[in-house]
Amino acid sequence: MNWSWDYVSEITPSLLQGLLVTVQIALISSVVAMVVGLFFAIAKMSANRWISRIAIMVTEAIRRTPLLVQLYFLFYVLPDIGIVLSPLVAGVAGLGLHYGTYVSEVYRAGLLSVPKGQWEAARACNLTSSQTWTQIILPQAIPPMIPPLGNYVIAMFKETPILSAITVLDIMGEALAQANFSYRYLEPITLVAAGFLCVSLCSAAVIRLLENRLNLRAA
Amino acid sequence: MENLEALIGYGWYILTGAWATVQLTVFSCIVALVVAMIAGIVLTSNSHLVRLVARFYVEFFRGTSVFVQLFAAYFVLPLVGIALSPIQAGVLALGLNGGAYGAEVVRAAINAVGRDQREATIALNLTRWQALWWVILPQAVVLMLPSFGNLAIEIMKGTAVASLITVSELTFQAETVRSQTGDTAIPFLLIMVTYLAMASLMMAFVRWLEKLFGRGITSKST
Amino acid sequence: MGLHVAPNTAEQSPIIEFRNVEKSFGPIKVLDQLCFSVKPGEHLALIGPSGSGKTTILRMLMTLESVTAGDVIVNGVSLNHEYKSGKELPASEAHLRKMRSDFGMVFQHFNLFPHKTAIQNVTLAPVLTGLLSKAEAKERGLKLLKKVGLADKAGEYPSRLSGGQKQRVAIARALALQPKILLLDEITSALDPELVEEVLNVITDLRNETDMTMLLVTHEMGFAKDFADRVLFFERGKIVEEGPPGEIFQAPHHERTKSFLRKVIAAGHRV
Repeated sequence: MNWSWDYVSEITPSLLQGLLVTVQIALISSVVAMVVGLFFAIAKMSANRWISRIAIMVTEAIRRTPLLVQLYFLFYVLPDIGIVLSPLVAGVAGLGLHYGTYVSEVYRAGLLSVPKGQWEAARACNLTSSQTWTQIILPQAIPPMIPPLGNYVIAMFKETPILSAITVLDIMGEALAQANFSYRYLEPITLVAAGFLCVSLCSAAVIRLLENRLNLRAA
Repeated sequence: MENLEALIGYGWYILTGAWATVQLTVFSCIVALVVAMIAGIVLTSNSHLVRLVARFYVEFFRGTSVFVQLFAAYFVLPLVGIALSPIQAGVLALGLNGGAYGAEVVRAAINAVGRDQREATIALNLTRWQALWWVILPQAVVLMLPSFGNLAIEIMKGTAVASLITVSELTFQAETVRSQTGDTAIPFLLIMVTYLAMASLMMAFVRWLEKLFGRGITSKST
Repeated sequence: MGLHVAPNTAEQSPIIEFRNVEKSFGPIKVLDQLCFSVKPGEHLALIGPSGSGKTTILRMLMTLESVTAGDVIVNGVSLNHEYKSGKELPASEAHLRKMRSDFGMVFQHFNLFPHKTAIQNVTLAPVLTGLLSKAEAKERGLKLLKKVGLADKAGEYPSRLSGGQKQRVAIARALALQPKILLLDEITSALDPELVEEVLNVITDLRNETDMTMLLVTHEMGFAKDFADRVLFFERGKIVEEGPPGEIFQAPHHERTKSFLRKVIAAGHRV
């Protein structure tokens, strides 16, 4: 094994380019996941038992099958029925959909964590239903959702390398392209690992900070 | 009719990949379980030094995407003289990655068993290891099981990525069929159903374990 | 039940001795220059307002808390220090384990092992500490459960027992190690009022039938009066007054003791 700093400096620009793509994908997918998750959560908590049952079945099916297979599905199967997605769009849609199912559970747990007495008290105060939501329920439900949502954003970030399997040139895609070109795996993969470690440790620290703040406020 | 025959032909071909998926899943789960138990117990130890080592392992493997770890195990380890078969590389990466997440589960569960229980073991003059083995762990295991079930399914889902380092498991076989026949929907639907069936089996197994270990405890703690 | 005279109250070396013991939790001083001793076979009741340090004393003896300063001597041996080749060292785990074997403790919240049946709770420690074989432990365990009136509940998990039954199992569990000193920490405080008596009856029997040294922390003044040979009244980590129960409860000298007892009586406790 011989580590070559020359090679490192040669590939660093393209890896940084890839890192930028990775971060962008993670952020856009997070937004998609939070929106999709909201729809799933509403459907799962629907008073209509058929809607909630189907929503639970769909989300469980998505959660229990590999993201990679779902990406292949979006990328290779959809064109057969006339929907052609670019690798990037397929990737973001896949990540967003997959993590939307996890996020919907966060929403649900957050809402259920507000005690029933709060709804009853709001009714006793004669608040309208929109007042109840905006003034009473959401302010209590949202803070506990933030740390788990943050953790899922980090998790999505760590999953983006999978998108390289459908030819997205994220940091892993760039690294593999370089490695295929030069037959050197040591430096690209080590650099990618270091990059991931750095970003996820930093973001985990930020989330811990957030959590502490929220705990302080609750106490 | 020709079409149907072809379909049955490659359908069978794809399902032969299920064996590799099962192997990867089972071995990775075993590695993850053992490592998680050791690292999780160490994380609750009194010694700063050993705790630091475990903490380093956990943060490293949680911090560097399992995808990267898989490629490192397959492409980088040979460079330092450790040549692994694709399946071995898959088990190593998935197992150690799962173990890192599992270690946190074990630590949290051990800490969740109340101080009361620990004090009772001191009052009964048990050693630390006796207390851990006979009193703390039996209760902690019940708390761990639901999270371990989810973790096992995450590991099972991770095995699909091993297709990218040429393990001929389900996803690899489906992808081969796609690239050779151009058929897309059937191969991928077929493996999705297979994954779903495996996940449901695993969930059922974990539920059964929860019942088995839950005697005397579940009514109270869950 | 009248006054009970402890055997051999005459000059006898103490089984427990607190020497200038201090305990602080952060800035809060829980015990302050505490000195007292207990004779073998004595039945001691520790009373006083919450936070006065009574429970800390029991927890120190059980080595659940360390001392901040001072020394606790049990059977002439220091609980917190050991001496090796003339040097004073903090007690090792081995030393603590040896010292613990003299003690049994019953907790306010029972602390039964929820994954073990009643009989398993009782036999676990004697088997693991190598005191008894499995068969002997089972035999002794059943005898103890019978003694606390729970022979028919041996196979039940704690979750299926009432609070009073749980606490009686916990007493049997503490006795299984045949301690010389039994520590009873507010053992009826977590019980519904109608379950208190069945637990106290067991303690009364133990008191009359064994020669164990017993330390009782309680808010049940009526029981303390019948149980104790000597009562210590604590406030803010200090002993304010001590004496035989007749004196403390009927004719306390100290103003603090009087006002505490008045409050307790006002709150409806029988004296």
